[in-house]
Amino acid sequence: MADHDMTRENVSVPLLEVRDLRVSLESGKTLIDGLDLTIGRREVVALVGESGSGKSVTALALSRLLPDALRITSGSICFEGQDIVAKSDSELNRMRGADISMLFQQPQVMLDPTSRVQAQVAEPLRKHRGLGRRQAFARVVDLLRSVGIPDPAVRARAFSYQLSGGMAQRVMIAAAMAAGPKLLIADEPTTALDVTVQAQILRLLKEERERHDLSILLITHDLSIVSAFADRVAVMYAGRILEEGPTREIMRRPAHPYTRALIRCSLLVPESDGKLMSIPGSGSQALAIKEGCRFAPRCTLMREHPGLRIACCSREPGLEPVGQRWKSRCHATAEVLHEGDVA
Amino acid sequence: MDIEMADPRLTLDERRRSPLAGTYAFVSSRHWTFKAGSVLLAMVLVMVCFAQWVAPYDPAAQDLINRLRPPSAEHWLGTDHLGRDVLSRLLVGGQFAVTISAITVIITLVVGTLIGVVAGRAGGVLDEVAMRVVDLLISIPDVVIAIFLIGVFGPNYATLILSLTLIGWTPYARLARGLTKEINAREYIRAAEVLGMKRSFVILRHIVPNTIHPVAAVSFLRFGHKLITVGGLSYLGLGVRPPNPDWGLMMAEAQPYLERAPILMIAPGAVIFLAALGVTWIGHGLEIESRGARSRATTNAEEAGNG
Repeated sequence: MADHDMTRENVSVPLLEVRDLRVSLESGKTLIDGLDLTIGRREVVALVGESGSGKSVTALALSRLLPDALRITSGSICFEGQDIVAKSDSELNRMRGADISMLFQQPQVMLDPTSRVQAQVAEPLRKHRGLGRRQAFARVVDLLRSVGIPDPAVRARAFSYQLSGGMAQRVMIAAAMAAGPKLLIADEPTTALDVTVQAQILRLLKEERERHDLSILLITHDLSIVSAFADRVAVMYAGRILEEGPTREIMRRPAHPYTRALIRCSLLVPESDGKLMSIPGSGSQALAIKEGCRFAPRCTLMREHPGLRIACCSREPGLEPVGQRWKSRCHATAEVLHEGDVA
Repeated sequence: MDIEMADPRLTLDERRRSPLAGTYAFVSSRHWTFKAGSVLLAMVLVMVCFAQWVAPYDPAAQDLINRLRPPSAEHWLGTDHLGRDVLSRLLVGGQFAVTISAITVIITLVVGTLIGVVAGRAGGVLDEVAMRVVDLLISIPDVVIAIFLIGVFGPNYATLILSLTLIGWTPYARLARGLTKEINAREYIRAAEVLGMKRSFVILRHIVPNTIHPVAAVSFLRFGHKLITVGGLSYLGLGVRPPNPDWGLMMAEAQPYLERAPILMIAPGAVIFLAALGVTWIGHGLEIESRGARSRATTNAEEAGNG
């Protein structure tokens, strides 16, 4: 009976639930300002934004590996109902790699140049699964094969400088998946790779998700990979989520002018004046905005509808529901949706 | 089918090689100072290790009739003031200096590197205290400590080693601490932390192996330095007791006869010089390489940062 209750509870509780997360510099500057994010089981969520919007800081905060200068000042990160923010270092170490793993942008520099592939992929197996050296190395060969590395027994004895970028990222995926985590945080996992290799790596991540019931938080600035890969998208700007919802709806008809502009930029098709679309200004000053919408200074919609100016510049909109599991932070959601499909 | 499988470096690495061929490949791919130093060091080590069997005479056997003889067919480097064969004394005399230097280098290397790595990784108060201790100790010349300790405890192996290690670890600590700070910022350390590796594991498995190259370079440089220091202490009469031969002691004994038999001074001096030069060259070669590797690593990291 108790067993039954446990499973029911596990299904209803999302895998990861971030509530009102705030991350600040020691100097007091807030980089992530009240972030809410939910990741369900087997769900792929993409966190999208320009550089400096706080995507990577979010990734590091979720595994509690922020650099010394950054602090989580408030909020909670619940993983399977347990608050990560309150955990001690040794509890976190037991979780990292075993429950939550991470992938990074530069796979080649993620591998220690002085140790062989097998030693590094075996680390989580030996630590979290308690395998001996020999067993772990045997398992590594299987893992390397499963991530599509040809000749895995030979590759296992290679050093990082003997691997191409795509190979190295496959090795990192093998290491990240070795101890069977439930959540994989992938911080720009394909940005440093060739386009053809990018597709292979993304396909591999999808396979891993099917095989291991994995949830993935994909952090990227590349919208082209989002629509093919993610179930839901969260658009981040200046430390806030501006829009969050199902990928298909958002990519077709976004409810926030910023998302709309981002998608138009990524399409790389000329606008009516023959130029490529770009968003004027930069997001780096937006963190300093205290009153009104953080995107207001760069918002074309506000410029087109002068009636919005007072509201947009004086009061920050809340994250309001637009549709089912779809929220947007804009005073003029109706006007945005009215503009129709994005492409 | 896969282009990367044809990677020649990998096949070369995996190929079974005899240890001798492996050593040759290791040495021949390095900077010329490393090669020249290796040859010199190998000669000195062979000489020192096999001295007992190679030496033509008993290094302590006196022959007062044939004292201070110039080099000849019987005595290739002549005889000293007690008629002992200089070549034999030279061969056997290296044992003391080389052993003491090697032992101190190994002890200081291990202790210094560990202190440096832990201080660098821990940071904060521990780092600050360790580095101020290093600053303090590094300002005292080790000969002064040696003279003091030997004055108190008398000249023996333990005292000599102790007096050389007390300060000897500081350069390693300083170097290892700096390297650790640098390595700590590298991505692969973050990758290990992300997989839940413990602090101590990260230090031993990922930080220490990455400090080895530059630390090895310094250890060879220090080895040469130690050889000269030990020679100097023996010269001052603080090392080996007569009649046991030692390079520094031989020079001290040769001093009164400098004009009559200059070879007595020149020969041990030259051997100390060559031995020290050999290890210093090795260290220099390694240092050039690691400097190259580090600057390459930095540019890679910069590119990564930009990309």
